[in-house]
Amino acid sequence: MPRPTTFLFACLPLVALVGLNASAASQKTKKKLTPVTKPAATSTPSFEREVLPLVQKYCVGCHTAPNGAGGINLSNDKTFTAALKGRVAWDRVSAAVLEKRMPPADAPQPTDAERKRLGNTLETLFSQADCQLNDPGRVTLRRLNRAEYNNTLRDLLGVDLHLADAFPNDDVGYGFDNIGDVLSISPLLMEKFLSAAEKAARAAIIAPEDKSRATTIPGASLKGLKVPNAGSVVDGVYVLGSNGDAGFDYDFPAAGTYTISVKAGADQAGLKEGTRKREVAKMKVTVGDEIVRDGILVTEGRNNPQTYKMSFAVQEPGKKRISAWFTNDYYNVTSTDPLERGDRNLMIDSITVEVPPDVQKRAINRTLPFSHRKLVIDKPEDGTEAEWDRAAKAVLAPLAHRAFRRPVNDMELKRLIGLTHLARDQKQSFERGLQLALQGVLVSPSFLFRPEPDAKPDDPTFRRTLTDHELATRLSYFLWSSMPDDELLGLADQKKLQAPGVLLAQAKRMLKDPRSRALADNFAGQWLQLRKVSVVQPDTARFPTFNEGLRQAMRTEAELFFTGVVQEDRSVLEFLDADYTYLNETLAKHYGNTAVQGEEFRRVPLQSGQRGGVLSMAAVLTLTSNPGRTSPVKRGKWVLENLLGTPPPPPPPNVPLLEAQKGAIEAETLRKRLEIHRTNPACANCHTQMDAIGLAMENYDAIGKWRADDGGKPIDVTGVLPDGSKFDGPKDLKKVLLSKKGLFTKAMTERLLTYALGRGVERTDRCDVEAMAKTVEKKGYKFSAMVEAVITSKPFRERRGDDSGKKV
Amino acid sequence: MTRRTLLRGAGVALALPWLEGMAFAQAGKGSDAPLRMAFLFVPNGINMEHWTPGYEGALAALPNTLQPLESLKGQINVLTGLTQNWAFAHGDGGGDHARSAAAWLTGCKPRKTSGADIKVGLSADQLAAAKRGQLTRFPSLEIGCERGGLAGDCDSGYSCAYSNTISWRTENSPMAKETDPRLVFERLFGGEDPNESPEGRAQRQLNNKSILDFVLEDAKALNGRLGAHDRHKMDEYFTGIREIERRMAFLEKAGKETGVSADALKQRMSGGLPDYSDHVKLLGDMMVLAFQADLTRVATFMFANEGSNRAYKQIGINDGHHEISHHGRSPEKLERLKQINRFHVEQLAYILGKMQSIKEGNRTLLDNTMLVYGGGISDGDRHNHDDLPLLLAGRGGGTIQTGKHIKYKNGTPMTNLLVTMLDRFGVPGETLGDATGKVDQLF
Repeated sequence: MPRPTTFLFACLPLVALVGLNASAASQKTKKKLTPVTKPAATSTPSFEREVLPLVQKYCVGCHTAPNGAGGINLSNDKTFTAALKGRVAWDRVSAAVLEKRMPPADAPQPTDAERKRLGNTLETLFSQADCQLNDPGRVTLRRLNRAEYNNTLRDLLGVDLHLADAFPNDDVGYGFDNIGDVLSISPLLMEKFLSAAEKAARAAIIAPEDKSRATTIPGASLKGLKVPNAGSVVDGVYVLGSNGDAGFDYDFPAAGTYTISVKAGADQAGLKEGTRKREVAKMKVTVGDEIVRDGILVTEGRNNPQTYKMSFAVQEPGKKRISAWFTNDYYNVTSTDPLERGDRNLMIDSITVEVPPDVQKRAINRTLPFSHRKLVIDKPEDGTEAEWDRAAKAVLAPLAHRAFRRPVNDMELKRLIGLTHLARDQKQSFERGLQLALQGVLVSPSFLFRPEPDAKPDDPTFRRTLTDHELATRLSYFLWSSMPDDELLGLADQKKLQAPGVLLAQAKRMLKDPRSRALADNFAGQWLQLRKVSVVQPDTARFPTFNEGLRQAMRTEAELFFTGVVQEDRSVLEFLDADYTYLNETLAKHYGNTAVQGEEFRRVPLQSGQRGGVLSMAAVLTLTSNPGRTSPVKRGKWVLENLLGTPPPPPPPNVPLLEAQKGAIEAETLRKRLEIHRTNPACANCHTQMDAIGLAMENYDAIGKWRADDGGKPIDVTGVLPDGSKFDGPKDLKKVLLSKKGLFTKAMTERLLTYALGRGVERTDRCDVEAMAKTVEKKGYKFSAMVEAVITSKPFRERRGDDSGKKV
Repeated sequence: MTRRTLLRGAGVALALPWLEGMAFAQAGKGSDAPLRMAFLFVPNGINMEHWTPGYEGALAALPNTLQPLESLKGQINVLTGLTQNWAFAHGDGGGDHARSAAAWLTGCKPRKTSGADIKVGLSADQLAAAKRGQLTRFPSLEIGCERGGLAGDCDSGYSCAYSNTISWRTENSPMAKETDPRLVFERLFGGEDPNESPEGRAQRQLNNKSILDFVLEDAKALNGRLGAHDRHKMDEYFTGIREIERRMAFLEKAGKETGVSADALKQRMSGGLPDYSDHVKLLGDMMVLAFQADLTRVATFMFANEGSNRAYKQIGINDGHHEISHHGRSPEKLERLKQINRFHVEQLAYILGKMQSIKEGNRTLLDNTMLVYGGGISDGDRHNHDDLPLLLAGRGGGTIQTGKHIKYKNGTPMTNLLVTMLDRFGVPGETLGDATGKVDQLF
């Protein structure tokens, strides 16, 4: 969103102007009563005075009737009212002028002050007009994205299958992958929905026809026992980077001899002690506290996993944990001997349990998974169709209610029961019938989308408050990336959710729930771009300490930090600077702290001034670097974009070759090279800011390790921002950022609102964002205050008809 | 001619679902084999110095980057001078990577937006699929080695859809690509339980039909209460359902499909993360097999997403591709760029070699194909979109003369090539993006 943000940063006084209007929805009436209290009104910029002369001078030469250049005609609108009507064209003017895309280089250029006057006046005038419009906006129909699909199936059915991992990636808009307008359905995805529905239905409900005695848990669904885990899921496989386990809880239905198979491969590295022979990765398998087998040699590579089969006698039925352990982690990057150098890891593809045949026969009911017992709450008591239908309705009514997140009407139920008849007509089981109905539910648009149907969908003047169910759904997908739970849905059923006390209490409850972890994964993961940590490829020749364990630790630190702020309801300013963080031994060593031992993460107080807040986290420092070196430009851009909400405009077209700038290649330091780069006026404007911020962070190398010099060359971490703030190094920089906490709060609020709404924040929302940021400030910057501001805001609570007739 | 002999060449025992497929292999009937069309995309521009032959006409000594194609040079044309005009800024500022991928097969100007209202144009492959796709089980195949963007805008305010997709079904519906070889395999050749009885399968088909009918009714009920933007989303939903129904009907008409076993491929897929080169080759093999079995006739394949910063560690390059492509004429960076370019061409050579080894009557699969390889950026440092690096491989059913370096007047729209190919493909009279006509010198 280059447009609003340029405006935010480039011209601070404007913020104040907009703010006045935000708080005065009924400005017109108030004005008459208290004209004296609004001195700002006298200096209110006017279209005729500030804009028109400049447009006449620089623009209308080309953009004139009847065929203005680029289809833009600016010569007719002589008043603001006229400009409002020609809004589409004028909207583009401010952005083009502020971003210096217009006038073209061969035309007379306005001064910077003129550009700001023209662009910002237009923005302000339009913004004021928008405030008066008092428009809640409209969210385009949102389909569940991959994370939401996975979480929703988990919460709806009680089976955590991660089926959406096999879906194509969701497209990203406005920085997030939950934006209604961008979430498209390709034929490929539709195919996946259909097959995922069948898989989910067959996993959740067991029909007697499904004879398999084996349960296979894919690597993606395994969990580590240790907190944090010794491994993580990468492309559907559980990768153990250090000693630890990957397992799951299994409910053994009866005593008997079970078969357990583990499919695993390994990254091989290291030698057997005192020999020149390769030591292979070793695995141990346990059930509860008992060792099934130890010292299993996993001889093959990660691309060729083998199945290791073993049997295990269960004496006592009941829930026990089945785990595969990595027992001989090895990591050496310092050795000069290539055979000794390397990183040994264990990859678990899947774990399968097979029930003994006799047990299967004897206790068919006890082998039913939890999901089945939870969902199939009734069965026909005789063979009549009426009884079948009664039982089907008893099962499907609550299921569809939860799946569609709203009451289900009789017609819908009747048609769902009709689907169960496909099985009945084939003389198949009741459960098979339920599976088919469930498949129908899971492919229905009422499940895949989150519809908010309107009585007058194409009338932009039609405005309404969300229903209780729509509100419950927006809330749960905002905080949990999943469906409402029974409590929330129940309140919506009783139409109690709209009451402010109830809604806020629910939000607080939900933030404390472990499911709010979704905010770290999906909001923070995208806001701070943490998801990129899993794909960065630092050059390990230059940064030998980088390995999978460190990569995981980096991400875990950032996630724990964010989750901590959410669940303990701390100040959002801690993202800028904090006197604590979360470390394990791996990461602590990376940070030069030797006091932390063991691979469990814990909260650690910080003193050295080298760390604190997201900016100095290895995750952020690494994802803003190139594989082989730091990138001050990327770091500066990251800060402007994500922390201050003022992304620099894209680089101008036809940037001249760097070679044209004499000496750039030969320059000794990065700072020097950037300086030469900035001698080009086309680059200087934005880079002055970006480079200064980025260079202040040069004390961290490309994987976020602290350094006093760059390969022997001294590092200069001083800088000045265009507004005059000076700093010397990262600690100072954070102080400067904290002094801009208003900008930060607003930027973060805007990001959070974007994420919550699933649409871009528009001009019409600016008054709301302004007011929301103020509320957050008043309430001591607590995270819950920001959530509260979002969920009580007009854009979150209301909607209107589509105005697409008016859009381009 | 048994089915087995037909497929021995591919090292797999793939059961063809319909008899028409057999005809290709019969001697003297090569002309009956269908034409195929494929577009293979590489990002970030090319070190053109080592790409462009220093002469025109018959290919003799190949430039360094193209040398892996030595044994195939009779089957390819090197085309220079073609241009994707709408990849240039035209007043929209930065974002050349996004624009170049979006314009590559569409010849249209992508709307600069990072969110709502993405828009570019119908792509050449999808035009072909729309007109000829009903003849095969899959109208088209979209594959690639990299998933979409993980966070943030992909390029200077352009939605990630532009950088990660070259195939557009409509001007605002990008075709998602499949990147996991296992999933491509399952979709093309598997997905069906080989132990399932024909009756069981028929029953399942029937059930699926009823389920689709059920949800269609739901969707229609909802549609009346949705706004224009929402209805666009529902249109995509309806299209998806119709496509599945079409495929079901197609299978029914084609008759019983016997079990599929593509063991050779399957073996290579066991386990997780393949090395990049394996990844390209696996996907390439699947594309070739899908062509061979006439599962589809149109494919797009992105070796990497536009702007990709992948480090090609397997050839000793630890810096990111995008970073290197901004070479600033640094000799080391240009050298590394050349190595990456050549590495990609090696993968291409593997795929073309496979196609050349498959006989279809008195021709080869490659003879019956028109395959474009290249990208929408020429020099990665300048981000220029004229004189694009493009190869056209295959003889288009014997109608294209190959083995030449053809130099078009710089600025000739690349879409002229695409329109020419569409014409050959049996989709004549189409216009595409900024096309001004057809290209010459190919026939």
